[in-house]
Amino acid sequence: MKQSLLWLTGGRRELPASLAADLNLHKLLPERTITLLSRLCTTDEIAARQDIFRRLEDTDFLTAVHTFADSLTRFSQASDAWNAAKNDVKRSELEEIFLLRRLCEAQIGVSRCGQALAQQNGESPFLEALYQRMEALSEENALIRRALADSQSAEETLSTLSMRMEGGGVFICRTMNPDSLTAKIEAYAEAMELPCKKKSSREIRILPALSEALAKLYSAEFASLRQCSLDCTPHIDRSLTDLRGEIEFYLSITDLISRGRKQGFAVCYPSIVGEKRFSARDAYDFTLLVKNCAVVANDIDFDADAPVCFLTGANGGGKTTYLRCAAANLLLALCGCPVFAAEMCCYPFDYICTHFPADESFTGSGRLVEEAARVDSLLQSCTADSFIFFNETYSGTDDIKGARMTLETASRVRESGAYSLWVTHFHEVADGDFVMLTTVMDETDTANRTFRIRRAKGGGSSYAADILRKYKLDAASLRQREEDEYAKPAL
Amino acid sequence: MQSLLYKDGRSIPHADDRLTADLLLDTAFAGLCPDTARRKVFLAMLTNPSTDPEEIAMRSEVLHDFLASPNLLPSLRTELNNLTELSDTAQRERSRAYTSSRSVDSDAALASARVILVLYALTMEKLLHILSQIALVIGMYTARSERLTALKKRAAELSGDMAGEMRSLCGQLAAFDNETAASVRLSVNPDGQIGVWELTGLSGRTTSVPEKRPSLARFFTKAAPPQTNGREVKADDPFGQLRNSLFSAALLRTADLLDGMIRAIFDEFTPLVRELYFYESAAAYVHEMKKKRVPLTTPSAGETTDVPVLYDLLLCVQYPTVDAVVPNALRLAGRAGVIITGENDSGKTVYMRAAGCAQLLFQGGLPIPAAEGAVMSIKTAVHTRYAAAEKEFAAGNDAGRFEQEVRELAGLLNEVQPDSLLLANEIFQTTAYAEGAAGLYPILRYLERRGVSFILVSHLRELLPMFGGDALHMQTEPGYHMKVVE
Repeated sequence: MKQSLLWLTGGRRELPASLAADLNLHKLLPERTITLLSRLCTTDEIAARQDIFRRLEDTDFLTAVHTFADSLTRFSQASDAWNAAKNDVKRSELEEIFLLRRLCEAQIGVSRCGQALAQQNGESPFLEALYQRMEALSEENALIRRALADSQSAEETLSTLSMRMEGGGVFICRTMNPDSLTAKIEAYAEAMELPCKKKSSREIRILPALSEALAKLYSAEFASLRQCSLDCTPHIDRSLTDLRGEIEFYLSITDLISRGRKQGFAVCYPSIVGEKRFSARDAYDFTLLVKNCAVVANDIDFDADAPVCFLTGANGGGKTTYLRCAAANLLLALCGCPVFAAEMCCYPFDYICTHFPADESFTGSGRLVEEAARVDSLLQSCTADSFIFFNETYSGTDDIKGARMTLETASRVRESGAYSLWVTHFHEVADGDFVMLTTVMDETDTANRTFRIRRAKGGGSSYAADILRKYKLDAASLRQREEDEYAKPAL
Repeated sequence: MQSLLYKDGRSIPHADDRLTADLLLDTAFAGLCPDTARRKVFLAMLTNPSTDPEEIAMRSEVLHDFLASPNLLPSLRTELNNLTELSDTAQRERSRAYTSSRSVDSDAALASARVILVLYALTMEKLLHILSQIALVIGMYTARSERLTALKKRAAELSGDMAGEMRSLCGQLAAFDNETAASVRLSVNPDGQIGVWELTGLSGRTTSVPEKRPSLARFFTKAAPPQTNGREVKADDPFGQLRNSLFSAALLRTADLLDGMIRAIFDEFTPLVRELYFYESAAAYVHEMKKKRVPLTTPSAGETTDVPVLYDLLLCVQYPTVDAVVPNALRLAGRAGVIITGENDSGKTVYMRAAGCAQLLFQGGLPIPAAEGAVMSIKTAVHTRYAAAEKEFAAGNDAGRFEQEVRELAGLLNEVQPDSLLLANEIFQTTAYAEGAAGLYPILRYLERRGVSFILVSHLRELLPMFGGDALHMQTEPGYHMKVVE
């Protein structure tokens, strides 16, 4: 296995694909990053990744990583282009030769940028791995450089061509006609200040017939280019494209963190603890960054005394947001990323999964049967070190039956040793012996309708009056609006 | 872009329909300018008044040139119509030719590329000829305005000495046919694509005979390798695919250059076609007023507005001579605004309309129907808020009417700029007058603080003590005369 920038031992078991979808991560992060988030890290990997993320807070290091990522992108694009040309019989040999040369140059660029990055070594095992890989690559590149230099003049000769169309045939000529009708038109346009170059210049491929004719007319130059291709091909490291996704992981998470910071979210590096717990202070649901709305911070607290918690409360009070906040930040933490919280510590759970309501597309069974089947399957895949997030599970039946099934399943989870958070509208679950969380109006924030999540016995109110305040239709809000209009300065 | 209306490259905006309707501008100019397209442009210009004194003066100068040389305007119109016609033809032919150039058959694509190049070469030749005619026409009538002089200079520049070689080149390209030998220079970019094309020569008709199309046997025989004499090599191109792709790209690249220039010239000159509509309508307005012996004056721009003798435009148009129209003085100075009261049908609205029309004509660069000695201040905009037409309220109630007026005024408050003029006619009279006045007063004061002048025609006499002399109170007297009430 080639040295990786993300894995020391290959991580842990793969998480279910529904997790990212339930947490709305697809709207925030690129697909490749989400794929990499679908495997939790070992404790060592978490520490090593956190080290890289800490370094990325330094502007110089971040710039070096961006430069390296750009070089990898160029390499990847060049590699794709060369591959396409090589495998298409309609493409010419000369085009393939040119594209291989670009690929070689891109690989040299990767090596140069990678070395610059790896030299900021320190104690990071990932950077050490990168250093070793770039060292090996630079040896290959020395050979490539030599071959490119030897054929440089041939490339230059074949970069400008002259040809004549006469009597229906095409003649490729060594001598150039110094005149240019096109240049005369351009000169007139320039003198008259007419913008005549609005259209992009046309580009067409070198057809095989042209390539063959050039091989004949410029046989020495062509031979030199062919030899260069033969010399370089064995030294191209196609596996460099894998590094692109890994670097993109760091950059996209860094970008996410930066967006969160701009929004005023607290950010910290979570502590990984041996005790089985997951707690955070002032944690933010960063998945709401896509909505660009105000986000309320909440505390999270799961430990041996409260391994399974129920969250009930007002409609629109942020129950699902809280669940996403906990699940998404736990996922980030266990993937070695910074998290959106003032403080966080968590046990290295080995599996995270979610159970959200599915679309109404059941075949032959009702919603309840489908949900029960999914819960069973989910519990079978969980271990004692798993964390499960349930959102409105068993909502396909009446309150009494739903609450009973919810309590039964929660008891099974608790007995298995796994931790879980349940968002439910069944207030009857308060009758069980589980820790209850509920949404509470923040009395300190009078201007907005803000809820916080607190440990409490849940109430059954629908908070109709609060909803009115949310839409600023209550008397106080209307008065405030009037004052604001008066406060605006006159033009 | 060449413009006889604007200092910068703006285009003619849409007319302000509310202003047009409230000030009865369409009615006033329907007879003077019966052509709808021309009138539309004219009203668009009037209802979007210029705020730049230099621009106003510039239009005035151009109009003066057109009035001084009556044949200049139609001659220029003829040349610009030729330009439009050429533009339309080129556009039509271009679409047709480019459709063919996308043909999957490479022979057809090359033929289309050739047609496109010839089309552009011919268009360019004609275009240069029209430009030279424009320069000639303006020079012949000795225009003095800065804008017409600049137009002449630019047209002469484009069609002058430098254009000689361009004409000859276009002639050469226009004669391009399928027997013309052409040479090209091309560059291969680092990604192995041919990217930069130059047409380096056209050597007239060749004597060589085109190759016969290959027989079916060609498919079953191995291609002969390209032969070379060391200086050049003939490509193995039995189906002409290479020739067609390379040369059609080179010809189209050259055509693109010409196309870009042609479009740029059209873009620069064709807006003048619509701009002339404005001057044609303006000239008709001036001739009509002169015919009716209405005094016309070009006000000087000042800090305040003082027009000692002002006529209402619509009445001047509708009556056979100026003697039937009662003039009044317009003075907007040192007060928040003007409140006009008086009996029904005593001329309140006519007075306000005369003021509004004069403001728009002045800022359009046109003379106003007034005696000499007029001074007007430039307003950033003219707004009207008239009590809504009866038909809109036929089935309504007082509350609905009032709400609509309030909503419209709220919209105005969002868009109003400092130094603008509001003409309000009998608004807020759809509720109890005391309440209407109490509601309107703070709004007018708010507008005043934002630097808006207003002329209000109203029956809300309760407003007068509220302003307490801060607004100029004018009252109508018998005979349609206006009196200032101290």
